[in-house]
Amino acid sequence: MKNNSDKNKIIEAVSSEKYKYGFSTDLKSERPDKGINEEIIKYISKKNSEPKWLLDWRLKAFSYWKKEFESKMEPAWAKLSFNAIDYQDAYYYSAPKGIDESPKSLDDVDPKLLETYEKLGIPLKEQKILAGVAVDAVFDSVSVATTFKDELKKHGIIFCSFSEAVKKYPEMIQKYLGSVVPVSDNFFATLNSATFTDGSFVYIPEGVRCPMELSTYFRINSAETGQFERTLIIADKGSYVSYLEGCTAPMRDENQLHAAVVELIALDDAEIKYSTVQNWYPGDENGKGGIYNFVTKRGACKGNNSKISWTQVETGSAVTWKYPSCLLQGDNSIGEFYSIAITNNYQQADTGTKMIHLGKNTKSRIISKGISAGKAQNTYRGLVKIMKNADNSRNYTQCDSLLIGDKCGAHTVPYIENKNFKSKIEHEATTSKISDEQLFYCRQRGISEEDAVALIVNGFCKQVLQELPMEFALEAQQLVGISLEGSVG
Amino acid sequence: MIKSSNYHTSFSFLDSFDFKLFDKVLFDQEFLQKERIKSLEYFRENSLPTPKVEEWKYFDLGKISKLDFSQSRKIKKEDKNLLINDLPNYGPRVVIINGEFCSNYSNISSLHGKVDFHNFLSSDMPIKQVNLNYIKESLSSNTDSLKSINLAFAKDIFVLVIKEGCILEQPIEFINISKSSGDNVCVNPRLIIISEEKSESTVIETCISYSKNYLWSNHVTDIVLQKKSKLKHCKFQNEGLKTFHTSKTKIKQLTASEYNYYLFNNGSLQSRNEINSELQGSNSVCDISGCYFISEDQHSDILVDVQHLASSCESNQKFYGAADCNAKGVFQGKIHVGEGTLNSKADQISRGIILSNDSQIFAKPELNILAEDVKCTHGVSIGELDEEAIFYLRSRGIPEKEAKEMLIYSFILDTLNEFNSKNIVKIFSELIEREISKKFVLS
Repeated sequence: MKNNSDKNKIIEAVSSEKYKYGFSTDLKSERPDKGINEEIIKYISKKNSEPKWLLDWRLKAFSYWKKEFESKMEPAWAKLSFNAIDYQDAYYYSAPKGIDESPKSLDDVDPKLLETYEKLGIPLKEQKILAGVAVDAVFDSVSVATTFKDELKKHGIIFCSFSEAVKKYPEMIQKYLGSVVPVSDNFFATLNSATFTDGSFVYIPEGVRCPMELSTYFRINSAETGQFERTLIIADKGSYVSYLEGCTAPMRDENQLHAAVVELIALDDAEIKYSTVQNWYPGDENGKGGIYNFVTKRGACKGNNSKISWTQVETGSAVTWKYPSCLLQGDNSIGEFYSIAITNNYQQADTGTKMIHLGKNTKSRIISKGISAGKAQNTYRGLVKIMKNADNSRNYTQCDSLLIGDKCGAHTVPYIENKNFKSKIEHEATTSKISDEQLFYCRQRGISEEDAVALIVNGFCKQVLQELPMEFALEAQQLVGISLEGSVG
Repeated sequence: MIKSSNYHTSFSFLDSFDFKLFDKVLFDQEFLQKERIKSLEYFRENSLPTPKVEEWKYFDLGKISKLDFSQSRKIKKEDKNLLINDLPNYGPRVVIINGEFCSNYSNISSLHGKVDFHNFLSSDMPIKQVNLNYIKESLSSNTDSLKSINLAFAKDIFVLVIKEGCILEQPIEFINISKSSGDNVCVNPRLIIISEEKSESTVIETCISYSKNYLWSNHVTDIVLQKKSKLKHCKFQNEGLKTFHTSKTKIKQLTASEYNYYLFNNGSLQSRNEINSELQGSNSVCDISGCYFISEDQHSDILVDVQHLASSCESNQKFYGAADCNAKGVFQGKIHVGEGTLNSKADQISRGIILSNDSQIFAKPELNILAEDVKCTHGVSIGELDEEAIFYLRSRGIPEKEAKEMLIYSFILDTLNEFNSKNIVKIFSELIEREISKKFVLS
């Protein structure tokens, strides 16, 4: 075994690993004044040419938020400590100049933008796409391109930016927007409801199995800008969709706010698989800069036999506050949550899930793997609630934490509530370091220490990694490697 | 001004604060007086927390806050006789009725030389300086509403010292009896146990109540285990269904000490048992386990917080329970491993059986780990009785009720498995067996 100083060196080396998506694109952007007020909300609404009901909806959300803000109701229960956010010191809208009219085809998109996405490994030019993933690219506050639209149209699938959906499919938006995450849900969701600028909209018609993975790539580019996007996915009866989400941001000294809302609706026999690789800029090794990631994600299994599955790999952000949840309303519906959360340096993550069992014979499964290194704090916080009428429901939860270094922390805060005597909940959790025996076993077989650690960590995460779609699994595995390579001595 | 996260209360006992209660005690009166007054003021300003306060999320003091409680009155001798005659006698004992020491019924003096027992109001034995420091620490006011009420309104303060190197075979019993006849009564027993170096002992606390009206028994127990001492501490809480039971037990463990706790929670309308252990010395072992049986409208909330503050310590938490009718059972367990500690091992398990459609069981098992060299686990399972096991027993001619009783008994008995005392296992397994058939409908 290496001694402590060696170990520290390795941890330092890992900590200084450069964030490879930290570049910024020099694009002229258009943005109104800093701060949040009714005028800004009207500006955003006007920019997106929204109908009056939506503006009213936003203003209602804003008045809620203002009240909550004034009575200091910003949630403080998470195990996170960070400087108070100055909500008036950020831009709430930023768009690359000249994107007033959304581009008709990729040829209309600014080449610099395309280049940015190339650099990020997200090819928007369709002929270059081998994997066959349809992408909606969101740059700061607006969606810049959506690929494979025509192919999807053949199947009746709607996949477009949120602002486009508001114009083209207003009835659907009006029916479902806020139906899973209401305006007054929580402080950050309310803020998002008032200020969301764009996002993605997906509708899968009855009985259709989406022929390709759908994906949104979020990129914050502008300085001092918050990103507030909204995703709404509706899977009609008997349909299936797999949706991927990726995020990156440039390296900046300031903290930028990201407050998104994702709503999923699965009707009878439908299935939605939602995967995220979250790699926002985590801040430097001294904890300077990085994204504050406050996200509300919730799916409603409204129909019988429906299924929603969340998979997330959380490696970025200075602060993560995120609890993708499932409301299991339909009988026999299934909710799943697979998560890897890796924190290093001064990162803090408070993440987990909520599974609310309302229908009969509902099942949920939670697998959470937390890895904490450097001086980071990693918390799993989850709720499993089986309501009185949810007969024969079942939950299984496993949350494991791995500690690398003696300055980090790993915490587990599950809430388990069973109100039905025909239902069963099982929960188990472990926290430990990488065992010396495991390392020794690998070393004995000639595997270098760094490779051994990678092997063990990969094994630790395997249950979650294997849930990711092919396209993401590779990226996620690399990310796990970058974050933790050789960090144990 | 009381915070919005707290209840407003108007207990009439607040007006009967006895300034002169401890005027003649040998202990530092000025200090005690000051701390008692500070506690009273703290409670007046803060009152009781609501479920908005995270640690009270599953336990609502609202019912208590709406009632009026007075201080208990003296009980007649004949009544006392009636209260005590039926009780089993396991060995040397201290009887406390409504927070007052009953010397006639207590026989702790038989342990003279091995154990010192002090009650502040009448004892005149000197106390060692080192123990005085522990007592002072325990009697310092703090920012806790229930502890504040207890300190301000405790009718006496009891100190049990198990002397250095003494090994006691027989358990020492503390019988806490609460009784109200006229008004709703609030009783505040306060006990301090000091287990001196290399001593070994067993303490059984029994809580019972008799009341026509509401009764609130609000216990505070502080325990210190000095180096290499061992203490087995058991509690049988069997108060009536008009009683609210709140209890805070705090344990401080020094190097290589061993603490075993067992709780059998069977009584009270609402009960809250908090056990907080600080492993301050290395190589200490802390084992906290127990079970609860609740039925009708009972609510049991058990909160365990084990803090590993030194290296090479080991802790275990194990709580099982069964809930019938409208009852609600809650287990909140916390393991905290402090920064810089090495080689910590901590396990926690809680299991619950829901016996009826209206009963519910909640759990919040929490890990808070700030050190790398740890092995911590927790597990929870909540569900109904295993149908296959019931079928197995029934197919062998055992009636349904009996089959269910057998299954609950064997399930609960697991909590006693690791308790290293045949005597205690016998006492509690008999109690458990007796209460199952009394408590649950099971048909």
